[in-house]
Amino acid sequence: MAISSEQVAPVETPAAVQAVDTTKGANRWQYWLFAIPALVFQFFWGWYPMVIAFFLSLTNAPIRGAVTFQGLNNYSRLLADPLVSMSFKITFIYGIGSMLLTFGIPILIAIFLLEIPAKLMRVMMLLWFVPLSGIASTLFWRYLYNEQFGIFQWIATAVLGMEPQAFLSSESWVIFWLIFPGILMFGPGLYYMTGLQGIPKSYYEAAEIEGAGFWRKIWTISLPRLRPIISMTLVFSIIGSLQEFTFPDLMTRGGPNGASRTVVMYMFTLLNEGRYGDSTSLAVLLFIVIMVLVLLYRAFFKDDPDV
Amino acid sequence: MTNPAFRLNRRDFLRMMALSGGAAALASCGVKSPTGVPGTPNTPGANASVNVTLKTSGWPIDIAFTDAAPGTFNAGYNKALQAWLDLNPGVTLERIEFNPWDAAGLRTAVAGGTAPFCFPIGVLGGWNVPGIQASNAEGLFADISEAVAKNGVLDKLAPQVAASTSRWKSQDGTYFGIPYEIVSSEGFFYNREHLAEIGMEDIPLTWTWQDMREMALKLTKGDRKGLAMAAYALDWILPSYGIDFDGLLTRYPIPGRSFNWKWDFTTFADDIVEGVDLWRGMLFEDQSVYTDPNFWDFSQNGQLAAAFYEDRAAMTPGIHLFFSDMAGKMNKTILEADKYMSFARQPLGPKGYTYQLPFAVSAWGFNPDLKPVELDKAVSLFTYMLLGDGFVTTTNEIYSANKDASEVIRAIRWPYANKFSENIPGIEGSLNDAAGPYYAKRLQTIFNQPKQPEPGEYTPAEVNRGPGDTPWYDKLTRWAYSQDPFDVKTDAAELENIFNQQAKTFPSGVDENAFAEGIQRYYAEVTTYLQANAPEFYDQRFKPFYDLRIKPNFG
Repeated sequence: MAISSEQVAPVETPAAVQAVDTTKGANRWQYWLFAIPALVFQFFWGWYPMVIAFFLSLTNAPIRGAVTFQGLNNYSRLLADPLVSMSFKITFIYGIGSMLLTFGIPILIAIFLLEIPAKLMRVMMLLWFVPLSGIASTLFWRYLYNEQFGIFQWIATAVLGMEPQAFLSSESWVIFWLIFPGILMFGPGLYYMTGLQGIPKSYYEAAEIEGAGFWRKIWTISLPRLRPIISMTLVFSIIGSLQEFTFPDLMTRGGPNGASRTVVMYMFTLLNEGRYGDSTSLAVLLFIVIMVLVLLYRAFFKDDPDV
Repeated sequence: MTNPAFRLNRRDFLRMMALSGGAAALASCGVKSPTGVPGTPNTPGANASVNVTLKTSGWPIDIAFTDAAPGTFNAGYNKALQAWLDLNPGVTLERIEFNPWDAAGLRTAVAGGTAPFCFPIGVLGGWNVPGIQASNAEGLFADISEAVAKNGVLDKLAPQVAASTSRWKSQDGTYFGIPYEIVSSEGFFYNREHLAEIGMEDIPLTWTWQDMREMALKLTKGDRKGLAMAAYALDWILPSYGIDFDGLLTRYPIPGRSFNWKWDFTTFADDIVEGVDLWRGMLFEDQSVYTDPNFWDFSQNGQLAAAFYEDRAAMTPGIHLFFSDMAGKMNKTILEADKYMSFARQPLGPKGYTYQLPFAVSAWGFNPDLKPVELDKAVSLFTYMLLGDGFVTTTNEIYSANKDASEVIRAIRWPYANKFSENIPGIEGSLNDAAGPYYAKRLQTIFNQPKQPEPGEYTPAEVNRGPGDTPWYDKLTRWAYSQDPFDVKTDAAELENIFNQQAKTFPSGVDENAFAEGIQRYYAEVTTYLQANAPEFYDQRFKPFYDLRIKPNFG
């Protein structure tokens, strides 16, 4: 029997729900009251600097004195600079390598952690996710990589009997050695753990009844359910890895031979040389590249777990 | 008096480190009061109409120290400062939290009008003459010509400092800075006892990098290396061949282009190969060097100096300003340190050339936003405290504790830009003796070497500074440490291409005729200097370079 709209009893909207309807009448000011701090913050720390950066990138951007319009001169100078293309290439390699090594592995580790006994899992989580000082960790890693007295060199030569290794002095391997610590220091693993713990056990139990094995459960339940978190961390990872600065700067200062100099590091170099216009233009270029990548990602990756 | 440290990854970083090294030490002398120190408005002779607040970020002009035990630097400083404030009622010093050694931060502060009343000129100018002159042309320093004249600054400076104006006076004759310190050329501290072990009494001024290699090898014994060296070793070695980012033989001026300079790293590529081989021979064959690609800090507080203190290295890089700090680090008196170690300037290149100046003047500029009355008081205060009566008051207080002039040397790095390097009124004896007779003699010998001309002293200030030195340092790090296969000559050609490709895109802001005239004078002076001081280098390197690159356009 079909149910007409007339037959459905009107549902009273609870007063509490009405109160949060911020789009009507007197409630609108409350909406703005809550939104204004965020808008003000976003305006001064986000949109305004961005607009100014676009503007400055078209000028000579002097420290003092008259600002003169330069058209696209800054951009053409950057495009003719071999170090710019080099730094973009390094940044992409760093970003891709970083995502391969530090994005996928934590997902697997998180899944494996949930498979081990609860007590051991807590210990492992503590070890893995213990909050460390980024700078202290970096300095520690620098010591580990030291070619003359670092522990890795000792392991390579004294324990494994290998020839002395170049580590950060190798142009071919420096990016790998910079990414490597991220496997141990990368934080999103905690997000995955949280996401995995939020998946109802009944899903797995039902799958087991249907005869699903370990990998099948991961593929059909865990990963799809983690999709929103994976999506979020992937976007952060793309943005973060393309803006990498602190770690390589502290570890190698871009060397050897510029083999670990990222775009942001070169931007900082230009800034220190007083080339504000060029530095700002490079920042805008990087912004555009990241924006395009994120838009492409959003266009092709669906984060709804039920899709 | 020493100043705070800051990071830079270039050769100039070292000079910065040198200048900055001891502010931490100085800061530890006492806690500053959190509020300003006003002058006494009712002092006789006071100018009641003056109402000036000078914002300072600390050293070298700070507010009064709260911890000032009699006979210490702090007590002397307080006494001197109060005397000036008494003479200048209405002036208030306000302490602001700011690091003037951070170039980006200082530029931002100057642009935004929040900079302290004075700050180190070199930080904005990259510690080189063209950069400093360009910064002045950009308006980053106040014109203090009137105040300099009014306060008799020039009369208060040591003669050689007053004559060395390229870092604090513009080519049109205006003054934009006041010298505070003399900074030696970069060189090496060496252990005198170890030197004696290999049969050497002294390191001669004419030593070469090849001599250095042989010495380092002989000095390497057991766990001790002959030399501790920073990551930019080749940035010291190659310039002595005339090869550098702005080297005498690798950068040349050209007319009729948008940018005035061009680079050539291929003509003398064999010299680059020789210099690189020398360093890598020391590092990999002789194993006589304690170094690492991450060792950038050669200050008295860095790992290299620590290796020297702990006798893990017989020589360590530095500049003379470290001497008293190093003595303190080793728990030695100045005179004990004089017997233990000494200082040598950098070795010469194989043809007898050095790119090093005998000394450079470290000057401080003033906030361009200061009003005339503020500027007048600022210059007066700076001059009084560092060059004039305030300096005498401060040092006398230190001396009064135990009548030992070497305590003054320990508290305030010697020698000084003012006229008190040999004697200070009220202090008995010669400061040369108090600083360590052996060390003092060696230092004076270095300082008295002839000074070679610098292009920035002759050519107009170029606001569009052109390509930076990043590609140069890229190659240096590869040549110095890389264990991947590489070819120096191929790299040199690539380096040349990168610089010239970058240079094409830069405009020039200087008058072409003025530039040409300056260049002609510069190379004429260089010719005279090299003929007198490095004749072999002149004949075999500079003259061919001049005939090839300079004479056709500017001869």
